[in-house]
Amino acid sequence: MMKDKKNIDDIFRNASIAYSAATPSNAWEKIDAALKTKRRRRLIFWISFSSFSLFLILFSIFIFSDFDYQIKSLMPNNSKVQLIEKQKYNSRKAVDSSTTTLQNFEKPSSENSLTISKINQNSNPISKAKKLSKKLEIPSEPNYNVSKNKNQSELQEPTSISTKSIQNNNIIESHRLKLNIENAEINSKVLVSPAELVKADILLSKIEDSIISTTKIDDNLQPNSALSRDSIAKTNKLKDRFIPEFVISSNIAFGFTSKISQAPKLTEFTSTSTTNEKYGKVPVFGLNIGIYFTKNLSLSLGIQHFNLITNGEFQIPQNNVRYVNVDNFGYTTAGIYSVQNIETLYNTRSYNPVDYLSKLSKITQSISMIEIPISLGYHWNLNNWKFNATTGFSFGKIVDNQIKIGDEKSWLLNGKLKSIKTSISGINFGGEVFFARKKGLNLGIKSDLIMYLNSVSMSSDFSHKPFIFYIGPQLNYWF
Amino acid sequence: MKSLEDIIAGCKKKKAWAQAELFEMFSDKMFGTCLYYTDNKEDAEDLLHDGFLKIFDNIGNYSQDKFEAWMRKIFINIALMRFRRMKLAKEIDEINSFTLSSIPFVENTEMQANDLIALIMKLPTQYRMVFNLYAIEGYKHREIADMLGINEGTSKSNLSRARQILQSQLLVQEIDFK
Repeated sequence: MMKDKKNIDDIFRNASIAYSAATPSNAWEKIDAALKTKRRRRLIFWISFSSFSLFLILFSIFIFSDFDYQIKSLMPNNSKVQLIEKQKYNSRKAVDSSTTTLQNFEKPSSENSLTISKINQNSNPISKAKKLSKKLEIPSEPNYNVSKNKNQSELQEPTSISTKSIQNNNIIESHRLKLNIENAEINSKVLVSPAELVKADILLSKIEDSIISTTKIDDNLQPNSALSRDSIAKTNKLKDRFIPEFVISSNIAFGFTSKISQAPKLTEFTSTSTTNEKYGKVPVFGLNIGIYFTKNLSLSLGIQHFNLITNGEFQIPQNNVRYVNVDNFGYTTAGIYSVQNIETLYNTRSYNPVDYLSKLSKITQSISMIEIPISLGYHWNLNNWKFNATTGFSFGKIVDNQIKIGDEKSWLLNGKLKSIKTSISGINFGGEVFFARKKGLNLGIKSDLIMYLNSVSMSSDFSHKPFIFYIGPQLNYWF
Repeated sequence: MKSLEDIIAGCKKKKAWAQAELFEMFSDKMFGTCLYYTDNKEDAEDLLHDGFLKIFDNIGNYSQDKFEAWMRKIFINIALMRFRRMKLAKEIDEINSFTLSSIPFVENTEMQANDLIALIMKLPTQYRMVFNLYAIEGYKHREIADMLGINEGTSKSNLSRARQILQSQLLVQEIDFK
């Protein structure tokens, strides 16, 4: 007789070490199917993640490239730099020529001629020309970005420019100065008399004053001028892009879903279930808040209610079934469903409803789900219509899961299912059309395709990732 | 035939062939473990399914020497999770209503490992869990109490009761283990 309790432990420990049992034949198939599902889910996740990242990168490029453009527009561009370089070259050449001319001019040693020492003074026209040419080299004015074409045309035809406004006058004067310096080369070929040099001196002084006044006036450009409008528009381009418009929308829609209902794990063996409808019906009601930025971007957040209804036929194989276990009514890949309450199930606790359930019966499953979509969109206008294409993430919560088996007059089973895990998430692709875009109420159409990454099927053997597509009218209020 | 190291390395890289070979190599043994942590074949199948999925998910973290012991620990953890989930009022009813007479007699005169495991499977769930964790896995009462969410005293009394039931069953069979 065994009396020592420790011996019992040893007996069972040894038995457990030696013990193994043959695994069911389909065990690996089930695990393999689950692994494939996981791999697919991982792939979908990475595709979604990559798409979203790509979208963010493209969006960033879209935003920051424009910002970069704006900065560049404030800087002299290549053609401007070339122009300045040309001016610089011409000025130097003119100064060199003038100096040569003056050196030559020294030779006649006349009593009324200018001396080299006088020429070298600050007040002489050559040094002023040098000084002014330096000013032209550095565009210190904040609104230097006068259009290239305008610059060139003015440079080419300085005499044809009218002098209607002060600022234009000053700009013209400054360009005339540049031309004078350029033309100095031509003048230098001719012997310059002291009187002409004095005249040039006076002219350059005038031009210098003109440039100073130009700078002052350019700093205070009038808002109505074409130049200022252009400048302000460029400066504010980034801000303009993000001027928001708000809209609240409410939509009712009707759509369809892939079949979500499968045979519940109602028996010790798998029951059979067929669906006579390929797709389930989905009535939808939703509310949405959207922000539409002026330059094509939109963001929206909403809340929607889906009622996923699928119908089918249900039958359990009578020959194979001994009992019906309602405690493990069905399960998702996420967890086991248990029956929350049973209104009608013949002989529920005696586990003998087999006679009833072995007949081909109608099965209806209705899943009530609240969903929160978060979407990014790209919108554009066509005539009076506005179009918006969206994509984003959807997060859902199953709030009710009802199943009915039998016929409408006397349900064999009519109960609510309680699932352990009810969260579901997916990606959405949608489109909206607004018939008119003015403040207040107006109509539109909304459509959405949601592809879920989780399964809500009743059995792990049928782990569908459902999709929902719907389309319907939308009432919008623009602020 | 690939070595266990190659198979583990393959599993770490999520190779399907390696996962299939690992399952082939250990499934019978692990299914046996699942059986004496549950009271029916169906639940044991579910446990086997969940256990292997968890192993394939977490095999990247494995770095110990005893692979089988690591696998076994995962199965036991899943069994414990299930136990905590299913710990319902009916379980207490099950213990309260359990009597020695409710143990079915084992007809074979010679006790094999299968028969002994069958006896464990017949124990009420909480007794079975405590007995398995203490007698087979070698955990202490304090650890078992933490794992199952019960008092240390309850663990001791459950073990005592489980032993008593098993001993009685063995006595009924008139098998002398001396």
